[in-house]
Amino acid sequence: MREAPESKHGQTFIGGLSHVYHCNHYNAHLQMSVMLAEGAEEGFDPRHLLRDSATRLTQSLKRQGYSRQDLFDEFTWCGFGYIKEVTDNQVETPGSHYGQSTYLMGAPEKSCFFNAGFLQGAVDRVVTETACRHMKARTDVFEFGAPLPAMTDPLVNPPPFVRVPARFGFRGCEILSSPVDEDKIVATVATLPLYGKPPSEQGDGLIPAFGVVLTNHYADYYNLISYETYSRMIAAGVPADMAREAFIQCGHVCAFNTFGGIMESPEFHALVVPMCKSPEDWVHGMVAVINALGWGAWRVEKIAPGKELVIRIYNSYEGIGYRRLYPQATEKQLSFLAVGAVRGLAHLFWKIDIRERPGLDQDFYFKVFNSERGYWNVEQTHSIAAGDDFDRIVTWK
Amino acid sequence: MSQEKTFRINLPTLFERVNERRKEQRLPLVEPAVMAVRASIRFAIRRQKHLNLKDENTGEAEMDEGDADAFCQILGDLFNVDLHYDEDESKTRSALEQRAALPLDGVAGADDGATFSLPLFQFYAAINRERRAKNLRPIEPAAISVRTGIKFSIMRRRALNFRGDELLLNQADLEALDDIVAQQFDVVVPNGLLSHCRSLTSAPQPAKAGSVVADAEPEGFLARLMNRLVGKQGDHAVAKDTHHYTLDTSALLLTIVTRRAYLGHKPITPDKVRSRCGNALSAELDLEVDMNDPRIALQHEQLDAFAEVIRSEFEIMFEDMDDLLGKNKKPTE
Repeated sequence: MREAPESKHGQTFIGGLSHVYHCNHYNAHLQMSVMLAEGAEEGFDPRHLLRDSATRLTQSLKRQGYSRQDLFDEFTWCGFGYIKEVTDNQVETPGSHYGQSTYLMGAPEKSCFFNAGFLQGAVDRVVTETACRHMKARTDVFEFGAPLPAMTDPLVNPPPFVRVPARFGFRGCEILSSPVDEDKIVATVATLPLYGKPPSEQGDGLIPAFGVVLTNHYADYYNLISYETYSRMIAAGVPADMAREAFIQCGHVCAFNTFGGIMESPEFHALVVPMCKSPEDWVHGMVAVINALGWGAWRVEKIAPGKELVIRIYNSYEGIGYRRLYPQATEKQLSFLAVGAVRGLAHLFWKIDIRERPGLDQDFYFKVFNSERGYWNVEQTHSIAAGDDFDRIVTWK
Repeated sequence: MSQEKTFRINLPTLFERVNERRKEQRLPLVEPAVMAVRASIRFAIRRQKHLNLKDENTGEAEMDEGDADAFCQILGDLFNVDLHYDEDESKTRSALEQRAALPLDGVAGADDGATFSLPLFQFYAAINRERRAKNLRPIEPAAISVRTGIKFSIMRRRALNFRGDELLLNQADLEALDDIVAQQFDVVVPNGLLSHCRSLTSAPQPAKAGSVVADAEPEGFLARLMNRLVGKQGDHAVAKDTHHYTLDTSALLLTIVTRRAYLGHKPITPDKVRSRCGNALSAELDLEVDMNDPRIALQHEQLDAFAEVIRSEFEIMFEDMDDLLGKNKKPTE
């Protein structure tokens, strides 16, 4: 790959863009949430938003000197699959995260929007998906059309990074110490082979791990599609709490599948569990793993077992990302993923008990994890998007 | 992004509104002071902040939009009324100043006069029944309600209230919902969602044309189910005051235990089920419930509360209510 990942400020950068690990379930649910906004505004097509947001980022990389092949290599390394050139005007993706690992709840349609948008930026032509696995095709096929004009770079503002405080060394922290060695966990997770391999290395460009399929996705892609959709929903009259809930649910699904899958994994049981005696230790262990995902620097502020969990996130990818895209917000509840994920984290310990390895599947999510009984409240009290130094999520029963 | 709004709530008016709704549902009135105390406790728990509900001078409270929403929901939960602003907006508006600024001010049913009630559990069940028939995974109700709610808001420019037991709709709303179900959940409900609705037009209509839904007296879903089971659908509006429904206590306990086991919940001993059930029903229904009796007799207006108690206390999701009901569920005079 052209550039090696670089970790700083709690985030991971490749080619200057922030990358975050997310699972196929999150990607599927987020895409479906964006698709809900169809009809919110005259002339607005969420499919175009999903496609063109990717294009704007790949065009930005090209402006930095990325070649077409560099982009194709990064596509594979990040777990999106791999691209096979069929003719000068046609490619297919025999390995495809969006084609193989995501899913739809609605009527099937061609829905590898990210892939199409990525390709548009790579080849500077309009790209149309002409066959899709979601429509029972053998593979996903993309055809190149007319030349594509350059799109604007969405990242118009400097990132307001702050210094990340020591783990328990910030004002307001109610925790003094933990037997969990976060540095060791972060360092070990960084050595896991969480990247897609090309066919030349017997890979298919996907990253199966912890019972899910991961991508090392562009954080700004998530931010663009989420906030552009959210603002249109609000403008169309959708109540803000309802619109937020659509995105927060994605985070809750993500916590269940990714956090849950990680905590049930042999790797977690070999590395982290020996450091843990109580559920609180497990929380610290999982937060340490999260700190290797590029989501920002998570700090546990308070744990009242079974009652309350408070998490701060310095340099969260959502908060920083929002400020890079837009002026400072006037509302605080904008870190949708974090809100859903923190609630999900509490649910994993105190709604179910993940330590018992209950076995996580859709049926369990449906009937137990997401049942109304024992559902925790959650609120974002501080928001980087709204000018605070950190995001702060409080969840309580 | 949206601006924060502040609401000035006229508490006596709002409490009066709660009692009006309770009166419409033939529920006993609640002393406003009791309402204030209970609501402030629940509010403090839910929102982690104190709410002064006793301004001596004005009887008003000021709060932001999130608090106002939570406050309305709490009053709804505590006193079994629906104060959501998409119903009977004019009255709620007078109590909640600035609520009118919200863009979604639907007057369901006002545009064509034909109004229907769609029980939510039937809505969720219909979708998942059809998905299972197509070998698709079921979708949890929370996801269905959010996705449907957003699409409906965009298509119909008003909000649906998923916090109650049923949706109040007109013909155009139903058509939109049928479209949404097909698009979002990849199924078509046979004969449309209309086939799962009860017409509200057969009930006595209020004089005010613009508030058909708000003032119509919605029947509880359990009541409708029972009436359906005994072939009395439509008649209960006239006869309900004299009806009692009897539930077989043993069958109820057994159903709770087996349904919980089926859903994967932690087992509860039958004795605990018996005691929790009795306590919860006694507390919520203002009724001396002895679970050692072979049968529980309920009045019509207690049925919804009964169903809610069972659902919240024991986490039983209803798709088919038949298995919750005992064999002797026939209304008796």
